Amino acid sequence: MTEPSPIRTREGARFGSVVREGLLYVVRHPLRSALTALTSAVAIAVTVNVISLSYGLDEDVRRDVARFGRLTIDVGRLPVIASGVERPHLGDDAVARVRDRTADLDAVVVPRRQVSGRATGAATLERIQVVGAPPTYLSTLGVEVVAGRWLETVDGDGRDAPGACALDAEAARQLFPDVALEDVIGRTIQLRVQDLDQTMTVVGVLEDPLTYRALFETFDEGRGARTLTSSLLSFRNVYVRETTIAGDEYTGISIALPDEARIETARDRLAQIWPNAMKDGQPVFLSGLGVFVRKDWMDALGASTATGAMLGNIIWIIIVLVAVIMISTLNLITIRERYDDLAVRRCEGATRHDVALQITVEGVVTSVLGGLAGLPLGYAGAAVLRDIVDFPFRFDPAYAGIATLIAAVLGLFSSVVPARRAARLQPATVLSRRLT
Amino acid sequence: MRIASTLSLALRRLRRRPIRSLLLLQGTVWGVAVAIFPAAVIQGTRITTVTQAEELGADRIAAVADPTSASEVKLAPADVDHLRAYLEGVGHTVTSAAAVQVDGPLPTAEGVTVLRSTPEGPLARGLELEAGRWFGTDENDACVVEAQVGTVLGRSLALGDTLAVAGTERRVVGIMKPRSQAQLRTNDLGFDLEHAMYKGVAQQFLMAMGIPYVKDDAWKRTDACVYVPVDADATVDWLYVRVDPSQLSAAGKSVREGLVSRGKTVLTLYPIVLPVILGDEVNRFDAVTIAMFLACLVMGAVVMANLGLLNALSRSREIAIRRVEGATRSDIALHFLMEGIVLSLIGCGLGCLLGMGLAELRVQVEPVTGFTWTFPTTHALIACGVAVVIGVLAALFPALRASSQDPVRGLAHD
Repeated sequence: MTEPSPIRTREGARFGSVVREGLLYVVRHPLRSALTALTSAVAIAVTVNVISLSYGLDEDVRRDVARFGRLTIDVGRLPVIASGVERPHLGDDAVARVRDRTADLDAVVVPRRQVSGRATGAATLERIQVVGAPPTYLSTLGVEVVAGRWLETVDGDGRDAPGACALDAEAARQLFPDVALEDVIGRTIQLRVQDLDQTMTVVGVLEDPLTYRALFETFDEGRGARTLTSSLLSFRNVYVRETTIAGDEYTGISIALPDEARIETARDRLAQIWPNAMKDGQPVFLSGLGVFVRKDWMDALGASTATGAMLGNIIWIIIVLVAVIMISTLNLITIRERYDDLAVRRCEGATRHDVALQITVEGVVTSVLGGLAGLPLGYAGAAVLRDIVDFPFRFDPAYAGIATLIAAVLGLFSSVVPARRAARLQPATVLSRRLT
Repeated sequence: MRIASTLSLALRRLRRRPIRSLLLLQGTVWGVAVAIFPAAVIQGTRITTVTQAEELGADRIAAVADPTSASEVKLAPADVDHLRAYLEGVGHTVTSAAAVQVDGPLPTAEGVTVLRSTPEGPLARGLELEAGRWFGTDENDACVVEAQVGTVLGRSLALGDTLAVAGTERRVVGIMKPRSQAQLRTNDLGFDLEHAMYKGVAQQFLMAMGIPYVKDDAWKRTDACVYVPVDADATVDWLYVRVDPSQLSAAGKSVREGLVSRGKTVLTLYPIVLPVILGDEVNRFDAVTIAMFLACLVMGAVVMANLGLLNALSRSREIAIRRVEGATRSDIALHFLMEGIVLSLIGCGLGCLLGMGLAELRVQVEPVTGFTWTFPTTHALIACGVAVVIGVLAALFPALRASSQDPVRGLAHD
């Protein structure tokens, strides 16, 4: 084992004594330190709150959206309102073309017919999306069946044989209020689609992938302007067999692929038949069919929520900056009161560097102590806010680590100016002024 | 007199170090600003939405066939009567309703769009009559013109003049009032199409949320349309319904439901932000505002208390001399309290100014037409009241400490 060099040992001891001096000052002035720490505590409490809110929300939204079927591509009519343009045809020939182009990709091709209808269970929903698709439809989504089972080929369509349907959890809750999802299985609903009344038995309920549905729907005034195809991902649908809804035209064709690599291949092949519809938010074509890759949309939506989280950062950065400036100003004033002490320390042999270090240690220790006190304060505040506002605050131990780091940085930054001021003082000038 | 002299002393001390005072005031300044700025925007926009609902389109719902549906949705003039009856049946007040078919530009003037509509077409679209009347259902030799039609045609148009529209010479029986520039820039969803934030962010976001791109609606913002009667059995592009602004959101839902019962799937377009502002739900975020306000204020109060303590210590000589000169303990306490109150009041004033600045900034970046702010007197009074009380409490402790100093010890110590 090598002996530490004498110089390094001396420097280490010196550093230790300066740190000790700083800590002693904090302990000897408990009231002043506590008040400064409280400022840091409040700033950190707000920071914990805002980070919990914005990053928690961002992560939850990304997770929810990922369950919409990340590996699915949709072919459908363009979401463009333009009068006098020819209406595109989407029938069995299109399904055959898709099957042909994706035959070697292990793709599941699911044509879908979707109409608005009226459903009556224990309650009546005047307008609900009814989705008619083969049983393979479930593979286009990333959600699970939470009660009962998914539709099977043995299930009837309600036209020639007793009908079966599956419900999204939200549809089940609205059609059968106050009934547990498992107890909805086996109940019947009256479904009116295409001017026909059909009795359908509920065989399964899908889980709700939207964690904050109630909150978002409260403020979602744009839902009435959303197209049928987009409404599908609101997960408030009734699913029936493909023959329940009659017609030659499909609303869309979904193609579920086994992995991301094959999405790219399928996209390229399908885009050769139906070029991508939108570019930079503007439609490239006014009518026709387009290829929509859900992954792209999810990534774009994820980027939007990430931007929201970034905007949330501005709030806590402002709060922390305010705290830095206030504590810094306070420390500056405090330093003036301590000129005599610091001048004596300089006379005793402390260097400018030692004095600056001592002030910095004091600042960082006070801030970190305040920050640690601010963590439970932040959690408590968030819990109260969550009850009042019903807003999704989500905690993660990592956020506490980040907040403590921010507290240390807060202490460091608020000590820079006071430490420089303290280091610059001339002991002779200070003490001579004192003596005269 | 005593209060006045103490006040002037406190002011002198604060004036001597304005930057320092300003930096220490930040807690109060930000606290008050945060407390009043959301209220300023919400209150201002609520007042505008209610008083200028017609101008903002906050009472108007446009229904259009869903472009993504499997079978073609054909809207008809008869849907208007059905909708009116349905909406009134479920308790909505329908001011006017109409069906509008875009016939295309006038062959002689590209800038003029011919619209076939039921009699109340322009009214249901939110326009007002300047002169004349609506045409009757079968009055096929009549037309109603918007304000800029004459300008585009390069001639003056008056009631009784004739205009060749859709192969027929028609008498002008009604002329509409011109609309404001703000109205002409606003689309059915209530967004200002010329706003940089709409072009840069909002439009893409709306499309990502599944709201379709409305391609051919430039005619809606020209003030240069000619209305002629629509055939009863024709297919129309747009249905318009005007309702009580407070019922806009619920009426939009009823329009969609009312047409489902006729086997038609439609999209409803109306200003999507204004109903949120008008609703009570937005008030639930008051709790967040209050939390931020209190957090800023507590930080400000702690710093003020800390400063007061330092002052009490560092000014012990000055305090002792003042005591020897005859100042009572209460004089000293009052002086410190006064400094706290003055600091808080200045903080409140600056906070109000900052709050208004933030409100103006928020309004400027908002691409929704009708977003504005007003000074929220009640919120400001409450915020300033709380800020002053907290400021006084923060000043009280140092004040008591300063006043309890023994003057002999204060001078001897020095």
